[in-house]
Amino acid sequence: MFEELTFSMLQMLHVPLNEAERLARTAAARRAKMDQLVRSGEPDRALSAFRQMRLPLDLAEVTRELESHGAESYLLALPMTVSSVALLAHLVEDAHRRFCIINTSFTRFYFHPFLAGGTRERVQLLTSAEIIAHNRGRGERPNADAVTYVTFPDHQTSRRETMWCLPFLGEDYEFSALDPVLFYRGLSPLFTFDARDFASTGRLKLIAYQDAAVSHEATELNVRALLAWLVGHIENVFRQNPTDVLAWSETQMRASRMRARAIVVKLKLVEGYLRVWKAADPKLNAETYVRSIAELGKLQESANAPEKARAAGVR
Amino acid sequence: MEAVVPSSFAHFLMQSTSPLCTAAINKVAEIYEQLNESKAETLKCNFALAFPGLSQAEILDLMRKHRQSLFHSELERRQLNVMPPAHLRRFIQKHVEIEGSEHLREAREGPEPVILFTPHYGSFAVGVLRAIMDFENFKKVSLFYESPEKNPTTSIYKGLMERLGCDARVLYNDKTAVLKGLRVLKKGQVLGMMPDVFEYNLGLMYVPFFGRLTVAMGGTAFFALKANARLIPGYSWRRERQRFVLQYGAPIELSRTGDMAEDIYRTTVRIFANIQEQLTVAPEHWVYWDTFTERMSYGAEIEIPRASDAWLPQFGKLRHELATDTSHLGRFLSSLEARLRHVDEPSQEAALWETIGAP
Repeated sequence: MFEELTFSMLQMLHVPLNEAERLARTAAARRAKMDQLVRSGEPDRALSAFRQMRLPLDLAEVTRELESHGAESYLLALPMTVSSVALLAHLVEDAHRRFCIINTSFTRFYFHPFLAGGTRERVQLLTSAEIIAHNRGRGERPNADAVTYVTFPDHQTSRRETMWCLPFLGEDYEFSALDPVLFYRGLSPLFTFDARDFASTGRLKLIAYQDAAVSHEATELNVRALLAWLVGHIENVFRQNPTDVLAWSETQMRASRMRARAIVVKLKLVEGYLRVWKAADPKLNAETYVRSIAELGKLQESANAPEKARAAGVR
Repeated sequence: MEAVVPSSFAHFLMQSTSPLCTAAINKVAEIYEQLNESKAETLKCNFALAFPGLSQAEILDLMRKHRQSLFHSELERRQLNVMPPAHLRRFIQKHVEIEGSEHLREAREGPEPVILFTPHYGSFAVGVLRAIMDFENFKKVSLFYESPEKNPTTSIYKGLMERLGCDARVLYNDKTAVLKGLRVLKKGQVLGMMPDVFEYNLGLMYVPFFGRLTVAMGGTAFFALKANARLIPGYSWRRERQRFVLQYGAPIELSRTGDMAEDIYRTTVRIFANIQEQLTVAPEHWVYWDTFTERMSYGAEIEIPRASDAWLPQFGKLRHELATDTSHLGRFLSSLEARLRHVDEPSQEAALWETIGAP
């Protein structure tokens, strides 16, 4: 895990090797502790241990802010961090709320104690589509408990056509439109962590999205504006408090897949150009052409390999 | 939709074919054009790119006709959607004229399966329904398109085909699409496809289109080659009030080099050449002019050279568009360019492996 984390931090944070190793060592230790608690087979003890963790946020202030929304449902779009899991361990103590958490490989693991322990009646993991449907159905359940929807935009996915490309830590990265869709379908406020003062205070704050749009609809412009805001804050957490992040390797792999896909499209364009050239110009050396096309094909094939494996369910 | 449309509204929609209504739709299209300045500007640029020989006035005229065609096409779809079954059949039978009936006859009577393709062009909904009726009693038609979850505009087609009562079938473009499509063709039936849609996935390729390179998917060619199908283009448009045309084209010759990838590429090139031909004759009916540059290579910066001696400099331009000189991809493309210039430089392929990951 240490090597994986070092590599991911080197790639994504562009810090010197010794700094990456230092950060990775701390992050690996924190993650190992979390993993050990999850695997302990004692969900309530794990939850209790999560609650004992020192949080880089003012829990009383956060709780006050969230409680001010009383019986309303709202959305927590958080980075996949130790702090997020620990904060939720506190929040699920509220017996009057239900918790719908996005279902991902990370949440299935780290929220296992929530689903197996004393909070199991109030917590459920749902896919993107199920969360959207659940939110839609809220109107039909006026007397039901308020719901805290929890998403993790840095590593959740949805159908390919609902993934939006935005820059993240200097790389092209894909983010699901789930959060904007929920927000523009009436699920507000939408909170995330604000790490702008972290360097000076060592504290994260909770911040709600202020929709500046004139029309309150999920238009392309509105969706992009919300995602840019959200991604900006999550990126800040990754930069300011990297040892808190749990999904470093996943983030680095997704960025690398995006990079590979972009290169494949470019190689295909070059191939397309050469093919038209060959058809139009008999002077183009046949041997050079064949060699070039073969080389382009080989490179595409290789860049595609992880994507193909993923599509086939091979990990 | 039928269930939620009040019958008086349905009646109004069906009757919305008077000359007055046509004029009103044209006027609405014109106002829409004026109110959507940025869209109009994009459209103007796209037409200028595709038809560099047109004057400003001719482009404005084309834009006007294009908007009118889109509005009429949309109204037609809505009209079809509220027609009761008997009315629908009668309407399609009575108001659609067939051109290229010899190609239809050969396709109907020949033993081989048929792939009928059309871009999103003019009255394509009317055309598709007429094609289904034309093949009735000869070959069963299956239509390939995106599910309504992916593309909400397709939600009406299933109901339309059911009401037409011709036993046509819908195949959604999902993971099982290839198998379903091949099964249809194996039975010697008809598969309807719309090749002018695309997504950035691993099956894409770039083919010539209006002097540039456009993204194209190889699916239509793949099915045709796998099943040795007759590949027929079809175009449908509104000629005048209550008069539509469905034009069946001559079959597209399938490439047969023996190399499947090469054959898919060459056949796809021919499909897009056919579409370009129709779009040159009557461009106003193509639905996707507003996103024309999005499908082109890098915002249409790279043109395909018209003279053979300009290919290498244009390759250099392409290289600059795609990558910086110092990046791994840039270095690989530089070595490729040197080779194409007949300069024997070592390939920088190895450098690129570093970026995309060694196998």
